[in-house]
Amino acid sequence: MPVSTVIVDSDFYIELVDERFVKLFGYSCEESCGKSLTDFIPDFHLPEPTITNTVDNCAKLVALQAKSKQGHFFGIEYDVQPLLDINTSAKYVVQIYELETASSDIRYQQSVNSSDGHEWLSYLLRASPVVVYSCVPSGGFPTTFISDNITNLTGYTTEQYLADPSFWLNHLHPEDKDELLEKMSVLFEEEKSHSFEYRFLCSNGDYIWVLDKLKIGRNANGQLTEMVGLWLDITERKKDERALLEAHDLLQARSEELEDSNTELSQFTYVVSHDLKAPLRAIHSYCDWLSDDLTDTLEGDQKDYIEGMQEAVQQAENLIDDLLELSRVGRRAVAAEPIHLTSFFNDLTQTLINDQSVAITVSKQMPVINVSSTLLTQVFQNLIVNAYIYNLSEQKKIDIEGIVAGDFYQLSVSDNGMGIEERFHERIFQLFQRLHTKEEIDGTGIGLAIVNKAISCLNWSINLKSTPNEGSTFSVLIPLNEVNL
Amino acid sequence: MSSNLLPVLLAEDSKHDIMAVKRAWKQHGIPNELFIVRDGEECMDYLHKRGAYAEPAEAPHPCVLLLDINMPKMNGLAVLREIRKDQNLKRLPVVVLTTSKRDEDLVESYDLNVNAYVAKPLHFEEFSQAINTIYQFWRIVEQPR
Repeated sequence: MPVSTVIVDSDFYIELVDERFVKLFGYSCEESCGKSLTDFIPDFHLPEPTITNTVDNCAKLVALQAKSKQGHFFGIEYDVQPLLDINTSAKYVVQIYELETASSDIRYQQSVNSSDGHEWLSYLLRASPVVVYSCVPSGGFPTTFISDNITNLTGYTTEQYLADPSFWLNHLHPEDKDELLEKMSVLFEEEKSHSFEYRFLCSNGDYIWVLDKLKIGRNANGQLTEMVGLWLDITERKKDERALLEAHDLLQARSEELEDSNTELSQFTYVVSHDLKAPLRAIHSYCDWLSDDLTDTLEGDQKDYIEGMQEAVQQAENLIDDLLELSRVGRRAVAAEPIHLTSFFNDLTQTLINDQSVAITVSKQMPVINVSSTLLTQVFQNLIVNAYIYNLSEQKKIDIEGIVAGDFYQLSVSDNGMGIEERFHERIFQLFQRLHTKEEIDGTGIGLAIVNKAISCLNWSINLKSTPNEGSTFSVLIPLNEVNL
Repeated sequence: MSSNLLPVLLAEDSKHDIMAVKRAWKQHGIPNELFIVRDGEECMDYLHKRGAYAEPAEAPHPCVLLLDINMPKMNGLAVLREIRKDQNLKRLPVVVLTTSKRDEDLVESYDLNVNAYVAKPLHFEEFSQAINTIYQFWRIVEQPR
């Protein structure tokens, strides 16, 4: 059904409008007549003449910019038919239809303005993902109204839904029902709206999760009249939540397993190392006794055999000692204490390097830091010993220097030793990574792993700059706030 | 080797440690005979002259007991406790010789009036030196006899 009909002349000047036109555009009959229809519908034009355009079947045109007297724009459809009158020039009958779907915002704004509230609301209810309902605020909360979109959500028609007063109650998930009804009592205590999440049985037998936000309504006398609420489908969100929760649980279980296995491994290392020490010590003693007792009677290679045995045992003992040391790093909580770095390094180098030919320099006036002396020793003992043993220079040099570098205090151990190729810079901090045979340079491949572990216990960082055949500089970065400058 | 010297009793389960004590004995020419028992129960049998040690000649009363703590059947501290309770044995000088690093063991040993507590040094030379020190000390103590 057309909303309104207008008769215009061949130049589109209005000759006649009907009541509905007046209502739609807001201009009276008198105001409208004599004006061009393009004043009301700026993009008004005649349809392209085609064979199919007959009187019965004439193509509708769309105009989105129709303008009312109040200045509101809205969308319409219209068709144009010539009014055939041989006495006069050509006239056209324009029939204007409300636009059903396109340009809804314009149209519905207009609807509101023309007080067509119910249609506007029912459109909103249909188009919105939110289900709106009202119910009796007592008993089984029988539903009094529910928006059409309940069908999209649950598969039930509004008629089905409204026919049974217990429909809502009977479709709640049994596991949620009692708790929900109990929680809903809060609605009667407070005026504001409350949200509930529960599962609702759909017509296909599946449950969906809904978020139900509702409040009670009272009349002027303060009596309970109804409950109004909104439903939102939160099934996807619940799925995501559950997936997230499961992922979290899994992660937690994994990390606990990992922690357990780390602890076990560290205990295993400790026990094995410790229990291996005694038999190794015994072998060591037996070798020494044999060597002492037989020193004058050994022939040919026999002496080498015994020496080989002694060396092998010594290597095994060193390995065990280093493994024990590694397993001890961070095992016990070690209290921080103020340590004066200059005297710490002077003492440490003196203890470790018993070789007067090495030129050792330690920065004077280094600050005091608060740190566990065990961990600090574990870091620098290995770095200093490495600076010495991986060094074949005639005049070995070891420099220990402390400087402020940005937000860190940087402690460096530099040497003029054999250096390390860049491609090995990361690998050397891993356990048992060695770049030399035991014959070239004795070592267990554990020293820098101890350094690495101690550094990570301290939340410090370490980096390496090195040029093969020139030397290496290991720099330890300590956050400035741990240093008393 | 002078036969009128009282022997030393060593209660030790580790064969290697026994060898080390014997080696130290030899190294320092300690004249006292060394008797060896391998666990706490055997040690008490020896001291009480019972079981395998029922023949008095098999188990001459020692001048000192070198006692390991970690031993099977009955540990060193239990042995020490029994010795201190026994009227005939309570004056026996006991040197606890152990790798145990537990402070409780040390404290309990002293509570039980141990005469010396020696942590077994890791290297034989130090161990041997410790044995010699013990020997020299008890030789002086034993002088009046």
